[in-house]
Amino acid sequence: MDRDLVERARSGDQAAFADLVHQVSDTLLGIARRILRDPGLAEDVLQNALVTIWRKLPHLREPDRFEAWAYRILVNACYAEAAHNRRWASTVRILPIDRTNEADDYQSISDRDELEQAFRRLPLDQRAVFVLHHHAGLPLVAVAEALGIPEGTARSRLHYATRALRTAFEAARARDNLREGRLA
Amino acid sequence: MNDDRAFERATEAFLDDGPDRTQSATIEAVLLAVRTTPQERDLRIPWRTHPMSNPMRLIAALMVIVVAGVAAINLLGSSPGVGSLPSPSPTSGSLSSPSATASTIAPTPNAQPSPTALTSGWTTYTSNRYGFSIGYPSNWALRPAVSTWVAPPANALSSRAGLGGAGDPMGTSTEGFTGPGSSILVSAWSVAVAPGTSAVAWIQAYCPKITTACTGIPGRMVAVSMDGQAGSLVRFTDDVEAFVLVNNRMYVVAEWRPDIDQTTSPYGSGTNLVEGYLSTMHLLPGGPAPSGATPRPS
Repeated sequence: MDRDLVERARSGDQAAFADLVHQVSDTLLGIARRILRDPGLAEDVLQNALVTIWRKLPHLREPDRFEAWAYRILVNACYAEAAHNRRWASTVRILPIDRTNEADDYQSISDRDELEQAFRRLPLDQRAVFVLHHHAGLPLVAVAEALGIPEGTARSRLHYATRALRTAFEAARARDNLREGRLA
Repeated sequence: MNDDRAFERATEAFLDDGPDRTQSATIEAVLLAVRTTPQERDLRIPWRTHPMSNPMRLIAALMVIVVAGVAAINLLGSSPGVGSLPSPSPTSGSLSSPSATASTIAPTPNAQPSPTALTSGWTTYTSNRYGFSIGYPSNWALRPAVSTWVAPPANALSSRAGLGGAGDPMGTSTEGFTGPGSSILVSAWSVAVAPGTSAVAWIQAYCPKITTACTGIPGRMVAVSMDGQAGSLVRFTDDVEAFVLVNNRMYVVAEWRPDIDQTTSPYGSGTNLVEGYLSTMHLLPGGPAPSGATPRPS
């Protein structure tokens, strides 16, 4: 992240903030979309988070930590949105699916649907840790810092999320194997 | 395909699903809002530039004294039991005097089911790998260890590679017991300890690699027992762990949730759950089998 850009935005430069928004918005949207599993809500959350980032930027003491700071604001916005809008918990799968891979067979679709359902059953705090670690690629210590939680808490949340997803994945595999056995 | 690899690939595909392009309307709405939204002022306490008169100084000093006096009276007059932490229990003669307790560790409520009542009807599992048998609730899932636990290097569990590896006590290198809905995990294992190492020294070296709230451990150790052997239980920020040192081998039972948590409340608390597990444990006469032994359910 361009430190100079962050400092200029922090001092009220709207043009610098616009540049900053263009640099980070796709990343932040990706995180929000994966946590909430709803593109529409994710856009709403991103919008609120970016305005909050603008308002609170003068409080950011270390411009080099802008990204972690922005992640925390975004995740808090996800929590707030989820608390006021239960749509995230009840909607069926509405993510667009990239079907360009012709080898995307029944098995992988089944796996993804099973993971999708299991992921939706996870508490938001576990989703946030899982997404920041596995999608954004942050090491756990950075996830903990971004979310303002102890590293041990981040690790246990990641563990429980991974375990729940793995359990669902293995159950789906077992069911599919059983189905194949019956058809054979 | 290997199950782990298949799971990894499925997870990657799941996370990579869909585009991440912000709609231009969203960005425009943000930038429009920014034009009319003032930034919050970064409030810093300004230095006074004008001198304070002597009478004002006297009044300010009197006010400070009055406020401090009222606070002191309130503090001294309050009940000593309110907000205090439980007294540490002695664990062994080798322990040094207790030091400060961690303020983040909550006391355990008194009204809890006894370990005996808690463990009624539990299933027994024997770990040849680690040299003990242990009970677990019949509606929990057993996940036997597939490798042997080794203490991880410092910060190893902060990396993706370290997580789930041989040093991760929540991973498959420990005997694992998972509660309904995978909501709670208890791990049990044992590891050889260098002769002459005290339990406290081992726990203090172990703590920062595995968990948090590692200051003042001696003062937070609670006496427990396992198969007639004395040990200690420590409540950390997010987990409760019991340690029993027998013949240069440390036996550990860990519950990976905060002591007081909605997931542990059906068992009274995390402490109570760990004590329940401990009450069912028995050391195998021959100790742990050579590495790679197959566990035997019983």
